[in-house]
Amino acid sequence: MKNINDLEHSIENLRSTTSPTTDQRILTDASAALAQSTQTYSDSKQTSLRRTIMKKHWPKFAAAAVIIVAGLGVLVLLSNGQATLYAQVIEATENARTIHVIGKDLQNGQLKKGIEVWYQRGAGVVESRWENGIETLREIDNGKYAWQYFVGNELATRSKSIDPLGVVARILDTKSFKQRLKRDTARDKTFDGIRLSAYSSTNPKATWGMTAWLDELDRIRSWEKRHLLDNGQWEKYRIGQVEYDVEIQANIFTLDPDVKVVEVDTILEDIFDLEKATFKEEVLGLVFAVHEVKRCEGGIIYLVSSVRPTDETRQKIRPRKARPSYGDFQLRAKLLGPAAQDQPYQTVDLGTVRHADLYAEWNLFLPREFASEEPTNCELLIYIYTRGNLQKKIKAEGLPWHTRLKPEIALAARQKATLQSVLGEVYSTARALEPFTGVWLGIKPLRYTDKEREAYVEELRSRHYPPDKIRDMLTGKERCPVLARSRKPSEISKEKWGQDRKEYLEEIQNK
Amino acid sequence: MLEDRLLIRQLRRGDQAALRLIYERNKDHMLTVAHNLLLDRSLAEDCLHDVFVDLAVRAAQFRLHSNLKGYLATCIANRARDVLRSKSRQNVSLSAMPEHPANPAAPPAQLIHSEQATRLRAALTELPFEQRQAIVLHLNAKLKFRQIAKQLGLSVNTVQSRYRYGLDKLRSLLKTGAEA
Repeated sequence: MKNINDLEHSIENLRSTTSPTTDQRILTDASAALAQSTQTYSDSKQTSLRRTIMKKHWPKFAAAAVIIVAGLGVLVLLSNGQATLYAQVIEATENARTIHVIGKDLQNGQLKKGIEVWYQRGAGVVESRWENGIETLREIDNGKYAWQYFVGNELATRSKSIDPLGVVARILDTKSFKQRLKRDTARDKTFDGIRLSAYSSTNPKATWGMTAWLDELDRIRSWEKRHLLDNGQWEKYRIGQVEYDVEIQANIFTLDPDVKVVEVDTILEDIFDLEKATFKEEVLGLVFAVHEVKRCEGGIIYLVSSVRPTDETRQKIRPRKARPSYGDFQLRAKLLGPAAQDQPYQTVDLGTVRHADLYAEWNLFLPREFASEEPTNCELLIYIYTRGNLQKKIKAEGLPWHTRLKPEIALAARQKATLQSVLGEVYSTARALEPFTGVWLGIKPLRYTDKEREAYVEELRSRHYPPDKIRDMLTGKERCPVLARSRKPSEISKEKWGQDRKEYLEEIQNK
Repeated sequence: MLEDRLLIRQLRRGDQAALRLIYERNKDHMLTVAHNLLLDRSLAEDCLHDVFVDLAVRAAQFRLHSNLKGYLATCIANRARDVLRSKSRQNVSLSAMPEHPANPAAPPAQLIHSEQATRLRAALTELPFEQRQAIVLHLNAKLKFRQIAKQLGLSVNTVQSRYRYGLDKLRSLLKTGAEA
């Protein structure tokens, strides 16, 4: 061997492969061992899940708030008499008994399955997410309830159904496709003996394109999205295929029997209970509520508040699963600028919770110099904003889509909590909710290091962010956002987070 | 890493498909590692068997703290070391190589390659195990030096030194064998 490279190359080429006989022997023995070991481990863990959860994470929740539906076998299917949550029903679903969709996107440079969807009339919709050949998430919706299961977890969650048709609705909405895309006869094709008509669209710079193919019944059969690479080649980065009236196995609509199901809505309704709210008001089809307000040391006030749609809004306006929010709010003292300085308090974020159509916040109000030393009430200035389809509807009616409230909340004379206890309570609750909801804890803003900025830009590139915006970000013309203003509870310890919030309070007070 | 974690999560739940997927994705490079460490293919296959059965036995409590491929490659390397310790070591000198069976149907190039592979493997077994392990994990399991260092609990410098000295000695052995 002439040199070290030859030697290394030769060793690299010393490859061995298994034989089928060996594979069978090993897999048979390993499979048997796996079945035995996981059964033994499962048997040894007889502790009630409810007791474990209650003991570990949720000290303040009533036992009745956590309803665990064990062993979900076959889902309750939609019966003829059962109303769906929303009045609108896509007509096109009457054109198909079942629908099966496979969507692929670029993963590690190859087009791989990213989503698979099944729809069955009367049963519901299942959306399954995939990454590099592994199912990561399964969502099942039967029009009344929606289950979400991160594959591999012990628990799944059950909530009210939102947008039961999900992506199926958008696929069946061929009217929208035909409005947005132009007939492209050059791309017409035949697939499986079916003549398909192409409709395409490109961006003005001709660096991006999309085509959808429809059959004679005007149903989408496939689509692709493509972009132009620097080398002048077109690359497909998303493709999809749709089949109609295929047989769907019943077990698609089920979860494994050993997966425990948690009722998320019940838990959240207990924490953010409208019946027990200190204050609530309906505006713009939303309900704003204050659930807790407490004096803390140093004149600080602790506040828990939320916004959600009214039942009537939910009935009339269908949200999209990807964006189920109907609205949110801002406490005016958060805003920068002179207008906020006339507020007696400055708001400090503790955390936010977002689940389905509920948005809630935990906040501290830090008194400014001119604030009363012993206030008897807390004046709030809240801006309420509608979002999503609710906002669209209101704007279409020519009405204002946001408003403000100025309630005064009475403070109990003697009730005082320590900052420590309040922060501890928020952390524990956030941590308990984290597996089921979008919950974040506020932290002092973290700035990007140069390396993190580069990694962020790379990620934007991989997600096809506009190249000119990326260029501006690198040259400093476009503002690169801060790395983070919040953290997932599991990413930060209780002590560190408490320290962070106290330091932040001191910084504000010392300004 | 995310994919590894997901697979392991499924394996912990007793998912047979996850076990099969982990096996399919890793069997060949694991066998290569064992074969190049042991020279003996049947012993290498036994090591592969033992590592996977052990993984299955411990599946319910298994926690992955690093890259799965690296973890499995190190497992089988350790298993190979145990096998060597438990059996009497048979040094195969280059001058006493076992004759590979003549296969009149094999093209000459393939025969030459096979002979070179045998010589190279035999030379590998002449190295101290630690040097052999560093070479095989880097070149056959495609692990970076820092991954090897992390798996073995060593410094990167130590791993690189073992690798360099191992290659130097290997070149010397092969040169000596060629001249013999």
